[in-house]
Amino acid sequence: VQNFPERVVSALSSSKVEFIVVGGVSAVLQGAPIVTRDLDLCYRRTSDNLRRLAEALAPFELRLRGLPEGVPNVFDERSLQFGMNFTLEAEDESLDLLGEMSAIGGYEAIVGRAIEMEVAGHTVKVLALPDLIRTKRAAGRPKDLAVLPVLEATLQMLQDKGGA
Amino acid sequence: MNRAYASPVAEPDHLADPQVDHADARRRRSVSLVSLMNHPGYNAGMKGETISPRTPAELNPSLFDLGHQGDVDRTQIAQHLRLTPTERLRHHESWRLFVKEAVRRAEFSRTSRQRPEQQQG
Repeated sequence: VQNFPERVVSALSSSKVEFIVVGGVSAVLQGAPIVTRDLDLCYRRTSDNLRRLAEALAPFELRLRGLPEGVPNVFDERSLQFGMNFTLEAEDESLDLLGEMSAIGGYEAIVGRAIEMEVAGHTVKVLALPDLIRTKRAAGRPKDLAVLPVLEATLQMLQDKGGA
Repeated sequence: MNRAYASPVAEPDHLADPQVDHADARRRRSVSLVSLMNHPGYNAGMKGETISPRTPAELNPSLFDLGHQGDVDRTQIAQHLRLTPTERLRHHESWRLFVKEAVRRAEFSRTSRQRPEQQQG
């Protein structure tokens, strides 16, 4: 049985959505022993990709997080065009879709340095640890700063192994 | 030989053995002493004021690193690096669900405590 991050990643990969796994899950995939509660994805903001992204995520029935009861929720290609960063929820799970991130920018700016990894049978792009460290440091929230020593130590051990 | 000036410590028997190369043994002992004296932490116990506190990070990690250095558990990272990305994600998932449940319970407990106060107010 696939867990929520695996199901989302599988759905997007099968639909050929251009995205990069970022945030805490990208650190986990690279070996950092941290725990994060949501899945963060950086997506490419081309109209084709927005359409594929909206279609692939439709079965998850995503809602904007914190949207009051009774307010109509529409999450489609058009709403993606009008926004940039979205905090969403579905099935008691959290999914953040990011068009741009602090200090490192959007999809085009980071894709060249992203690492390809095999996750749940799909080859997915994962934000490189140096970029993750930069954006966490720039975000500067206590929860971001708290994981920096672990991320830096993981990066150092990967470099010692010749893996990064 | 005047016995009054003889060493109070008896010489070990093996020193009298002509088969043992004492010069070589002394050389080897002196090499180890020199290497000890050249060690940055060596002060022969004579200069107490030169002793400075050293953190574990300054010491030779191969000798003193037991995994924990400050906020980081390197043995845990090494353990994770041995897994595949999917295995890492599945291992993380069990902890993520645990944290989610813990936060949910804490939130429930907090709101339960607030409710009687609100009723009183």
